[in-house]
Order: sequence, then structure tokens, then C-alpha cells
Amino acid sequence: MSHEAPSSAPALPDTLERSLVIQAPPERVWAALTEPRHLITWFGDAGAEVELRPGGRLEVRWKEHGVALGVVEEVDPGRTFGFRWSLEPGVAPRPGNTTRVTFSLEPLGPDATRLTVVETGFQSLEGTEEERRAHLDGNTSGWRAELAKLVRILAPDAA
Amino acid sequence: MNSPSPCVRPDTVLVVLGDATRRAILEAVARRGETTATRVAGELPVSRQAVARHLSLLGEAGLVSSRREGREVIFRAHAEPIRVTARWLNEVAASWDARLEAIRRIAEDPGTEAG
Repeated sequence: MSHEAPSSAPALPDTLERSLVIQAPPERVWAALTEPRHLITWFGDAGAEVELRPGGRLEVRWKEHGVALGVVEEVDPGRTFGFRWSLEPGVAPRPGNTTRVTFSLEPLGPDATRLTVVETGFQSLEGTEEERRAHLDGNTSGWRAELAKLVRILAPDAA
Repeated sequence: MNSPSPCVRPDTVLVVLGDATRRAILEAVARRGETTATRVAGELPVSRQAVARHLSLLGEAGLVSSRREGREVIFRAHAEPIRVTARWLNEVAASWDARLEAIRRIAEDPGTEAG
């Protein structure tokens, strides 16, 4: 038996993916996703500003969790909206502290769209300069199985 | 690095666990219950110095703690930072669900203009 363990959600995934079907065409989903007057209602309860172009600034404010800062990376109207944002409240995005968020819109017919969000990079965060150098030597591939094993040993209730 | 950090940051935990050698070291410590850097270095193809450096980073994330016993420094592993981080990732996932749901309501609202 050499096949891999069943791909049940690992306790500490590198990527989170969520998806739902919306009964509206992609143009309307795109409007809900990206227009400033809508952004402030679904993204951050104290406001959100997004410059909708690659390199544009992204700022999301919450009453209780402070401010998240990010940079827009991908804008393909009606299809893809991608940005990188900092996990550290109030801290500007830099290579070591960001995850990448990608929204994808897939038309499913005249009046339905699958909207998927993927947030990835939880395991490629890098801390100090020294950490970053150390990281380059590390093999980051295939570490989920290892980590699952580790979680089973250390924290069976989190697995 | 004597006791686990009281306030573990999930991003620190993820960074520290993002390195294969560190994961192997943490697993070796966890399997032994308690052990020393020298013993870990004996089990893995990693120098004692490198093991000590990795144990120090694992300690900063609260994943191991150490105590001195005579001439030896004894390490043990802690699961709490992994639990905290797993819970945090669940919260992140739940907040994406809530955002997608909010976007759905806006897009399906007949009052929303496209484009």
C-alpha cells in the first residue's frame, strides 16, 4: 500500500479555498466584488479602499482588528481579482508577511457564476532576513504529510 | 526560551514549521518526550549546531521549551501553538465564507447594477 493518505483537510493547510454559486452573471458578481460602494459592505466593517489596477493599494479596516494593507496584483474584469496582503495588522506588505488572495469568477450559464476565493502562502511566510536565507535551503514540497504526522503526535485533537 | 511563549502568533508558527529540517527536529523531540540537541543531532543528518539553532527558532514559536539539568539542556515539544494556528486558519476560512456570502447577497440583489 503505497498510496498517499486520504486528502482530508490537513490541520495546517498552506492554501484555503472557498467557493459558492451565485445566481447572477459574472458582470454583476464582479461589480459586487470590486466596486467601492460594495467593497465597504463585504470587506471590512470599518471601510475598504482598493485601487483596482496591478500595483494598486489595498486597505481594509475593521473596527476590532485594525487595518490590513495589501497590493493589487491581478485585475481581469469579470474573471480574476488577485492581491497580496499583510498578515500583520497595520504593517505594509513585504515578501515575508503576505499571503496571496485570488478571486475567480466562472460563468455557469446565463445567470449563474461560481465565485471561488483562494488564499495561499500560509506556509511560505518568511520572517527575518536570516529566516529567509534559511528558508531557501529548506525543502518546502510535500510537507503536508509530514506535518499531518506531526500534528497527530503533538495535537491529535487538532488533526 | 524557558517556557512556551504565552502569546503565539500563528504566522510565526507557520514560518517556523515551513522548514523541513525544523519539522524533522520537532518530530524527533515530540517522539522522545524529552531530549537534548546532541541526541537529536545523533538521529538526524544535521549538525548539533544546526539543531541548536533550529531548536531556538522552534522555541520562539512556543513549539519547544527547554530547561537546564546539570550540564544538559533538555527540550520538550508543545502542541498548543499548532492548535492555536489550526484554530486561526479555521477562523480565516470562516471569514472567507462570510465574505463570499455577502458578495452573493449583493450580486443577487436586483438593485445591483452590473459594471
